Amino acid sequence: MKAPFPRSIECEQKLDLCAERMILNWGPAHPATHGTLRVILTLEGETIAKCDTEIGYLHRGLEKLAEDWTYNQCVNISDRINYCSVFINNVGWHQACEKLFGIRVPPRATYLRTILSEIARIADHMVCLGPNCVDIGVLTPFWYTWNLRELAYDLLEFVTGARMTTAFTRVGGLAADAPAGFEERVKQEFLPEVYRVMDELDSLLSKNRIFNDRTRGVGALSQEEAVSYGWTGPCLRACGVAYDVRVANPYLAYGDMDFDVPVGEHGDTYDRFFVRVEECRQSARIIEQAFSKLPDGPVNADDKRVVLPAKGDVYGHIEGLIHHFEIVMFGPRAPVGAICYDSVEGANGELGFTIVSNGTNKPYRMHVRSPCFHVFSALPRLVTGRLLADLPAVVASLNIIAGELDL
Amino acid sequence: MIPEWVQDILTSKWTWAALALVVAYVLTLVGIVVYTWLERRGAAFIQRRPGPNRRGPYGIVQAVADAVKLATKEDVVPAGANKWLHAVAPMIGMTVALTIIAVIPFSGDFELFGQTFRLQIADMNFGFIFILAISSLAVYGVALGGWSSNNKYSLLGSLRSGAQMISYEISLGLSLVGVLLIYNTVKLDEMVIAQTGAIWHWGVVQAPMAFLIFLTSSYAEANRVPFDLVEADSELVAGFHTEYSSLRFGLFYMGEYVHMAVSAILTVILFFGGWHIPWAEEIFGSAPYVTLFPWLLFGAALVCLVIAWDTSRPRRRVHTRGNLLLAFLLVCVAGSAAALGGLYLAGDVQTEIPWLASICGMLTQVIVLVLKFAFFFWLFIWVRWTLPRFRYDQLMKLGWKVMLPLALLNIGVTGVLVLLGVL
Repeated sequence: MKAPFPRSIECEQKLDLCAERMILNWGPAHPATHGTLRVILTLEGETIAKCDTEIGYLHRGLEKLAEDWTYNQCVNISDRINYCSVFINNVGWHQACEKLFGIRVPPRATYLRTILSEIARIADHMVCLGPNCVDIGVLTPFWYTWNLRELAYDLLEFVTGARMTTAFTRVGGLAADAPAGFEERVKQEFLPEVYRVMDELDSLLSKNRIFNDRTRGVGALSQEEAVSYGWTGPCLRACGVAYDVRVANPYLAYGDMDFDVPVGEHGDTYDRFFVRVEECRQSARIIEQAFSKLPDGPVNADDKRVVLPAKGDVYGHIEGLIHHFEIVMFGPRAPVGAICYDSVEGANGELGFTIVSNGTNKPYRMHVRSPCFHVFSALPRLVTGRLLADLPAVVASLNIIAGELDL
Repeated sequence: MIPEWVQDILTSKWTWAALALVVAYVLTLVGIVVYTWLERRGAAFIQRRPGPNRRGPYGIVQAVADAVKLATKEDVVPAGANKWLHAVAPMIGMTVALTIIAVIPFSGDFELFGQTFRLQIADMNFGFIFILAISSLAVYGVALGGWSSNNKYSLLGSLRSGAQMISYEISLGLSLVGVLLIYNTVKLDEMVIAQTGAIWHWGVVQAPMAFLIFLTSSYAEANRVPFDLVEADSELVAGFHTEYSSLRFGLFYMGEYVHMAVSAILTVILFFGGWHIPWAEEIFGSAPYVTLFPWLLFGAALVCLVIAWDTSRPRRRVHTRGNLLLAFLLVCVAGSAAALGGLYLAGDVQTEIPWLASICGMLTQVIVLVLKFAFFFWLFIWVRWTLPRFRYDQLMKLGWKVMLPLALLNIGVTGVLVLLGVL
């Protein structure tokens, strides 16, 4: 990758021609940072000579907070990790809990979790693609993607009752079954729109000369480097590595689904953009298949340790009442000394939860492997030597969610 | 006939210069209300959303609300700013854009009581050079505004603007040299006259390359997408006007629209025959615009009726009673316009009252010019909401490695063709 101005900075310093460098604080409050990031740039004219990143503006102590909350309450913590695709975080958290407890989730719940995860993934990709367009200077596709995101949020609200902080999973299943008419709404309102918006983005941007000039070769990373930085998700796949947790370690119903893992070639902004576009199409395919195979049955595991008893039992028998009270007030207790790690394919990459249990109703320690943290660590490598205008384009294409950088 | 004093007023050149001033201000300053509304509604139309539709018919009063908001906001001067330059910079941009319009002819020559007049504020025999000279001053407003703000983002924006405007001015000027060769004049009204007749006399057909280079450069000069690096909200927050608020920001904002309006009107005059309708002389005889005037009135009446029908349709909107009132007024306007057109035809104004007929012909020309101008103004909006933004190095590469050689080549080719007598 050739730098826009091929002269080297050291060479100029030797010749004593170097102009005075300017330090520019890009963020934490800047329209293109999409959250509270701070990037300290040393500019030589418009060229980025040095780039330092600083995180911590959104640190909320979530990992510490988890040590004081029960396993079901902690779902609210997962809501606030990646606030653009919340349902995937919910699934990730409770999947790790279920592994800890040794519980199998009934098939209907796994299929519903699959469907809602994919809707959340599409919403998250829209949050990435739209602002990426805005940061390159074209505002119109932003509204097309935002309309789709709005539809996705409407569906999530229809099922879970909340647009963003869904908190819908429970240890052993879901808080409730999907309401009647969910399948029709998804199939009639949402899926056709997904395909349409993706085709629109393709036709508007993939051959647009200015868009190509602004994104091709910008912020490119090789496969080896991407792996060494710990990249996962669409950013890694754009570099050409076909690693997807849904395929590598099939969870939920992904093992039964037929879908492709789109892979890029150059690992640049252009590839990251269109890998996400293609992933949305694949998500739509997964949703279609999941609905065609959606089984009937309960959405909660038949395990008295973790699942609330039936309401009739609670109001009719003292044992049921006590059972209900125990689970609501104290929550399920995990096995003593168990350590487990489980991960899901979040919208930005592998989202993993490590839980250490000491036998109480609360995690002894919880740790999140958030994908953005690893992706963001490569930012100085991607933008050093490039122009200032490339920085927002790269940051947006990495889809940095500040909530994933600081927990 | 008509009293002496009326005739005196009509034959005074000041009358027509003043009327030209009115047209110029309507197209620029008053027009800003329409332009901002058009930009917002146009953007909304392209982006599949309603846009401002609450205040007034089709939301047009929103622009006034915006202006009042800007005017009543606190005017902040940042600490460490050069106060004097900070205050002067917005005025420079606005003044420059408004000055250019002085030499633009809004109509062709028309005859009143044996004297010839033209709707033009200042009839300079170097009109074209004046435009080039004045428009190069626009860079001072942006560059000084960014520099005096004591803000790094503003500074970057103003540096970009300096480089951008100077680079693109060269191709802009050079593209017009080809046009000069073809028309063999520097007076704008003579350029329009050179384009009368068939549509292939238009500048865009005769010098297509010059047109493309001029259009692109004028987008760069007006700092519009895809050349809006000067403000570049995603990189530089708001570029050179980051530290401006209240009416000082308003002046920059209005200056941009005035600049666009001037660019659009120049495009029409230089390349699209100005007030001229192709083949008008062949079809409508020796005084086509005088003949066309009543039909213009009938057309306006039809447009009013369509808008009236649209506003009076029952729909879920506030101010329904206002809409009905508007529809009623529009129907009245349509009726009067049609009646006037009928009177004009029935009274045989063209032969009976020649001075009125020639004023009507002038009005027709102004309206033709404005209609063409409206298309090019819309093109600015259309492009803005369609294209991404260039990067700084790509902008420079386009300016110096593509546009400049093309403009030079264009001069050579045009010169040879003019020598050979093809153009």
